[in-house]
Amino acid sequence: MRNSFRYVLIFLLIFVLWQAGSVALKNPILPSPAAVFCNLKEIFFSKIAIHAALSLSRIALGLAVSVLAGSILGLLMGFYPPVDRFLSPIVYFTYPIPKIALLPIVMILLGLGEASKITIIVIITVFQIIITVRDSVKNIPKEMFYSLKSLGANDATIFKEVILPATMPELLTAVRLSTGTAISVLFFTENFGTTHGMGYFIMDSWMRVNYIDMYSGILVLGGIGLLIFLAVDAFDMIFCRWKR
Amino acid sequence: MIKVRNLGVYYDKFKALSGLNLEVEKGGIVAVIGPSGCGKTTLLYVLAGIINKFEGEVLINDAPIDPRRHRIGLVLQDYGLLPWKRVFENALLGLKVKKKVIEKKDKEYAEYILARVGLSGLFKRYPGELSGGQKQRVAIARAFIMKPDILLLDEPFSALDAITREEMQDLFLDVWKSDSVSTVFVTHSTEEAMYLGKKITVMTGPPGRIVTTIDNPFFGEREVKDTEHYISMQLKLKKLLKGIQK
Repeated sequence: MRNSFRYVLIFLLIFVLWQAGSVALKNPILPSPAAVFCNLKEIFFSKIAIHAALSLSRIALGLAVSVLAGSILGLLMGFYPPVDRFLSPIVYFTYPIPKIALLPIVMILLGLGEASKITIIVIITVFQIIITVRDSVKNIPKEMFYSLKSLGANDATIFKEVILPATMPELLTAVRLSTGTAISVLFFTENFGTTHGMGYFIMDSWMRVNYIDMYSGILVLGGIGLLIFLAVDAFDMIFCRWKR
Repeated sequence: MIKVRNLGVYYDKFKALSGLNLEVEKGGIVAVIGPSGCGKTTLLYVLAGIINKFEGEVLINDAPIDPRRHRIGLVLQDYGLLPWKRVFENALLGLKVKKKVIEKKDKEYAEYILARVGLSGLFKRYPGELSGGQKQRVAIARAFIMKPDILLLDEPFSALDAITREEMQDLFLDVWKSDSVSTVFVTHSTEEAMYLGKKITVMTGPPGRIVTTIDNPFFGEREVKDTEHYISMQLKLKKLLKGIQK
């Protein structure tokens, strides 16, 4: 309860600043928050919801694939040095390549539909996950394994009882960072070969010089980010309770 | 019963243990003392199955050591608890890894031992919410709950304050006496060795080897009657340790 009160208070502060900016600028490029909210109320279900739902599902799916693949690779690289020796040169070489530049190729190979957008999100965010997970496995103090080793535990048990829980907090941090990246990337990819998604909606409103619609879209995109962050926080509360 | 014959361990080229022999009879408790860096912990890690590259022979109940086959109770100086598991889950970890299925009577036994080491009411805490002494109680309870073939302790009480340490020594001995497992107890304190060891083994190194093993008539005696004999024995141990360091 206190938490939601805090959120309301902070949003109020943002809107007060926004209102002040809008009054000072006196230019349609920065409409007042009240105007944007009225518009949002009117068009959310009729115009925006479909775009929002599609964008959210693309981000969620992209992040899910990224976390799954990235965790598996990161865990294996962290725990088995030969895997790390083989894969880390590949990761180090491909991570810095600006993969957004591969968008045309991905679109040719996978078409203009969902697959190409999700693939771009995955190939951009997966590296953060791989590297974070690998390093956090390597940073587990070796004493942590001793009790289990002396019990004759096999690798599967060690993964389940030590490695997964020990890396979970850092994995969640990587997911939070990747969420921001995923939204930016999605925004970009939704400007090509689609007429659905928040990226399309916002840029289309801009082209039509409909600033009120554009700000409505930006607010919704912010809301999507907030939703994902809250979901990750909830996950954190459940699985990393021991940290508090 | 633990039998170590001609044990040698290398870390890369560094010789940590060499030609080490040790025997702990069934229901015996051997306190191993020696200066820092002499290889006490290495010896314990070999017995625990953590170090599995070694020369020589390590037998537990006449079979070569294998942590998958033997039940090894291990209590480490840093407690060795998993911070994401609650007290009760930590205490049951040994059984869980060993036999997967935990029956009602296992849980009851675990509750009994935990209560005996004074942890009633703390079952749902995480290790981060416990004091050092409480964590050490969990570690000791965990080792006894799995009904081990052998019990290994690596300076378990040296991180505790003096009063808690004495309490924990008494508690350990109390539980140990009702379930006498063959035990190796590593310590650097002569007082602790003389209180908790039926036999005291003095180590030197590197490379780690055993100087001598003596019978200890003062095992489990908090109030020593024959003070003269006690002091002379303690002096002898201290001289041995000093002689090693020279």
